[in-house]
Amino acid sequence: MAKEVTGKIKLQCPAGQATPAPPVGPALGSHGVNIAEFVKQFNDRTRDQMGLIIPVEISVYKDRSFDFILKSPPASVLLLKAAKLQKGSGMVGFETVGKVNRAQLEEIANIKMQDLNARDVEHAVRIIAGTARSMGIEVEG
Amino acid sequence: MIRWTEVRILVPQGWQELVAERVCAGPCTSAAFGRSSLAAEAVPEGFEMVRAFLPDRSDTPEVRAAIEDDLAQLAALTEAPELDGLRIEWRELPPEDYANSWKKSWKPFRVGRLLLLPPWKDWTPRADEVRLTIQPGGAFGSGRHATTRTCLRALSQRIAGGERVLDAGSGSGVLSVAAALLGAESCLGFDVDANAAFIADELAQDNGVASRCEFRGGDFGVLGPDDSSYDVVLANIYSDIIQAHAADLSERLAASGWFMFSGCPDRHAPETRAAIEAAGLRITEERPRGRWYTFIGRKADAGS
Repeated sequence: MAKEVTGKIKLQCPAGQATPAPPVGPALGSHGVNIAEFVKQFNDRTRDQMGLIIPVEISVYKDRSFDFILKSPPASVLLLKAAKLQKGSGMVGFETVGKVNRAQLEEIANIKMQDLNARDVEHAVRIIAGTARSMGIEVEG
Repeated sequence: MIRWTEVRILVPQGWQELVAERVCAGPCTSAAFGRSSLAAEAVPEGFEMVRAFLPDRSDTPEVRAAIEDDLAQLAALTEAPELDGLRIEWRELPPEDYANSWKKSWKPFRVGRLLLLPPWKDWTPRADEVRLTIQPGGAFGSGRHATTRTCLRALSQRIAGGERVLDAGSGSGVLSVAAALLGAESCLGFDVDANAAFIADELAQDNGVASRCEFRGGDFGVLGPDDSSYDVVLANIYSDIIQAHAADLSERLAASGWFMFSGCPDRHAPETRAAIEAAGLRITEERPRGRWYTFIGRKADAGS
């Protein structure tokens, strides 16, 4: 019994702390989805990542049931890991807190390519490099 | 009730995650991508719509200015000229109780003798009606799928009371629970999904038939030698599984029992029908609904 998808909804929600408030309420409510159930399931599945914003894609079916998949972590999280940092710069433009090289950018670009809906790898690399710069991480090469 | 302001930003494709993160660093805590609803205007090609939300207590001129300033710097910070001039649209949303307003669209519905209703609805059943309470909309559906409705209707017509029921691919457990409510003596469901048994157990408990329903996680391997000679064998699953396991299902059906296999898209009906018949079963009734087929029948060597 394959179910017909009537909507795909993409959100970024705080791990373990989603609520029926926007964007969850208006995004899912317009499809008649059981919001309380989504919030419960999302928070259960992301509780161990508290503090992170998690991208999630929700599929809504014709009978208004739903399921969801957690997408790859945000590029900023992957960049902090690659640069071995706890957090980005608080004074971007005045302070550089770390570095990433081309190979690291490509690796992250490949992970994020589909979720970002980037045109190609080069496009994804530009976006990841831009994200790095916006966090005060220097892009080498 | 909190009021919300929607912060809409049309972003060049690919940059939506970064823009959402920048906006969500402030009082907006999360973001949605894409149209606000299926009816809303489509986003232009090559762009994504980022929608973040500000609670009214944080929607001040200073906060708006801070978000606008942050986004104005983004092109320079990222060295991406396409992020220059991102325009923010502020929309004050009407007040709404989002925790409850979605419930409005979930109405009780009848299938045969069964009345399916969500837990928050109080409803007086008719004299001959059997009430099934189901939390709508989880991953396993809510009884509204065409194939589930067909199965529920057939159960409500055919369960006479006292049957032993096997439910392959039991999912939410709705068919087993319905069969138990209609009078089946016992129901055994199994499903390969790791969460299914837990959810089905809850459904059986909520409906007061937990003592007559058992749910196991796994495939046919979870059935033991005693799990045989069922009066009713149900399978509302993918048609390729019905085809592959028609013999397994047939083997567990009592000589005088009946089966119901559903979930078969019409384009796969011929090969599914053939597999059922090749497994020593005789189809006595076919119920098409929309583009789905349901097959009902008995053992080939059973009397009519």
